[in-house]
Amino acid sequence: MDSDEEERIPYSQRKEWSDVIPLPQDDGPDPVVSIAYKDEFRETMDYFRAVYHSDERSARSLDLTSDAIGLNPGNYTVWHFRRLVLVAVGADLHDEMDFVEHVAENNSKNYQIWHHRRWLAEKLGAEAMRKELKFTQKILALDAKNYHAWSHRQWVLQVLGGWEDELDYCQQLLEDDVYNNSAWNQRYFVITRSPLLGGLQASRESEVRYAADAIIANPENESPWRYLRGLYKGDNNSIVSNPEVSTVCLDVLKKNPYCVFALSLLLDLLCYGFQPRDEFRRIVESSRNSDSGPLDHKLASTVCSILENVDPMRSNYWSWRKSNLPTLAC
Amino acid sequence: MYLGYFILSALDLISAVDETISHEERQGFIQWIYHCQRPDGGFRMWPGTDFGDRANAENVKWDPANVPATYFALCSLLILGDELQRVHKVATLQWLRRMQREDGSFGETLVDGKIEGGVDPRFAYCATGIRHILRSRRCRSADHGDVPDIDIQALIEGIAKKQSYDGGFADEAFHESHAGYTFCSLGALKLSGDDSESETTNNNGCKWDKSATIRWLSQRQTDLVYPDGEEDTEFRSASFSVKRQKLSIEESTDGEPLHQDVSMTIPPTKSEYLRPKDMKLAAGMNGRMNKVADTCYAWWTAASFGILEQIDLVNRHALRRYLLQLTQHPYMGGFSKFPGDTYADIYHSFMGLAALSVVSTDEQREEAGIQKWNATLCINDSTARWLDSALS
Repeated sequence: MDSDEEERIPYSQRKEWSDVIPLPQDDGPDPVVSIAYKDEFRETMDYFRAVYHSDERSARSLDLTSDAIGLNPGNYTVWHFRRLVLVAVGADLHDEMDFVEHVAENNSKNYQIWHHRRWLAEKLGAEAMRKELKFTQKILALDAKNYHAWSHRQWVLQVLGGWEDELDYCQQLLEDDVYNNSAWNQRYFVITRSPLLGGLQASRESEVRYAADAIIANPENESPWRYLRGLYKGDNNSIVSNPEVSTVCLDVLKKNPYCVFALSLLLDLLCYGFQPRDEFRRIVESSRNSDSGPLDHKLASTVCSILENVDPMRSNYWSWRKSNLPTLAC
Repeated sequence: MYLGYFILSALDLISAVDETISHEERQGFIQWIYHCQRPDGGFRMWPGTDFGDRANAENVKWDPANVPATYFALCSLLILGDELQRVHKVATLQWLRRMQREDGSFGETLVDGKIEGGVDPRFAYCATGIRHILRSRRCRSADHGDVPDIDIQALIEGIAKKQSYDGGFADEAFHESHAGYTFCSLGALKLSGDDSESETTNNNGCKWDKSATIRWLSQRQTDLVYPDGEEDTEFRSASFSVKRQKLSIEESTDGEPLHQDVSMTIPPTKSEYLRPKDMKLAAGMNGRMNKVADTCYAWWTAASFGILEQIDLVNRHALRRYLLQLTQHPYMGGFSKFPGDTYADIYHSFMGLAALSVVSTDEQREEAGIQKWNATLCINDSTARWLDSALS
């Protein structure tokens, strides 16, 4: 808080607090983890305890909670009591937004702050929508993968709206960093949930192309591969029957027959009953390590053997896949 | 309560409870934990909310029992050798029911009749852990039978809905998969006796895709680390292309490339890819796709494999090297979040030790003097077995 720079006057010496008897913390007998609090922290919390014990919902209580939050923004009781006080004194919730923004600057990964923010946005309703989208955008500009900011943003979109520019926003973030999986996840959310779009099935075709382009540009990026797979969540028959999906695999494997993610998707397709063209067989079989014994009967099995070699970090996983191939796999 | 549990568990992991805590201290700690117990069930997070003699019907709401604190209190008591005889078991089981929402999720506290806290599976995990302990063979008593159970079906369906399109689990539906939430989800499902996983998900909401979860988990092991120990927020993977630091660890003498270099523009030759299997690789776990490894995710991910009884799918050697050679603090002891961090901390030290235990063999554990750890309950395996043992 800004007041840190000024000389702090202890609560015990402030006239306006002279009627309050601070309530000290009972650490209990033999504390397991006794915390060495600073005097300022201890005193502030002792006064806070006195105030919420007497349930005093006043302007000075509000200031006291600001102080307590400045010292420890993780204390959920302080935040909870603050909300009661805000309502009781009829505080301007726009000022409160500014307060939260200020606290969030240094604590953007704190659960309580985001919870409080959601409560505020709920109170303000539709008028908060633009501000909330802008606020999360600001936090995401500093840390594009901040989990809380993304959660809050999804909540805002679902409850308050503002979907119009969301796909563009995802697009922009992916242009900044195509490895940003949070942005891929948000794209999936928009495609699936936006009332302005027709749902996953309706967008599938164009999204397959979008993911395919991202894959061709960066075949080692796990995110678009999973995104492509995710477009067919729970619908294995469709992923097998769409030639565009297998073509992505083939195109990547033609350039790099050892691409782990391409081989991995091919393996999944084979496990779902995909009938590979001869071209697939040729590429895969020419990549086999000549030392790895006789040719496997199943192409899926050969793919596992190659993966064991080219992805040694996960060789146990690939070998487990090999020993658990479904009977329908080619 | 968190800190106490982290420290006591870490001591338990390295078999040091007896030598570091005297008999008197032990009794004192047990007393302190019971001091945090609420008469109407559950434990408070810390004694600081207790009004003592001034407690009344009006201010009771400011001193609520807390779901994670209750789980950690029970585990800490067990570590200290307490047999939970003074735990208000029936009241706690009744309170636990009040902590569940209609959508199956659990909250953190009950304030003024309202369930506070997020809807994410952290609380579901702790709730099912509490239920497991209090309904275990050792703890249940005749009057337990009268307490109706939590709504297991709603719990399972709620968690299944939070499985992401990539197979991992998130805190809420449509949020990004996260190894911590995946652990909590799998743990809660296991402790609920769930067997609803299915090879193929369909839309009835009750099924989740286990093979997709395993695929997602297996991709969490990575040799991606911060180039120079930069902060998370500073890290930009794409614009500057992903920088994968080559981990030159002392054992690595074979000169093989440790990973695929994404900046490679010339297609690699066959011999460059088909490397010997037994590499001297060090690889930790990340918590989300395309992020760097971090000590605590070694636990969340490896323990998830443990819950699924698939620990062999982890590259144990590479993970052990990451922990022992890269994030273990060279002279301070303990583990840090990232390799090369200035300090080790309590949380990452505990998580690092727990991860080390679940990926080690019996021989390795014996050699290092660490205890076998139960991946599902996150307690000593012998304690977990004791809970299920018959009363003598």
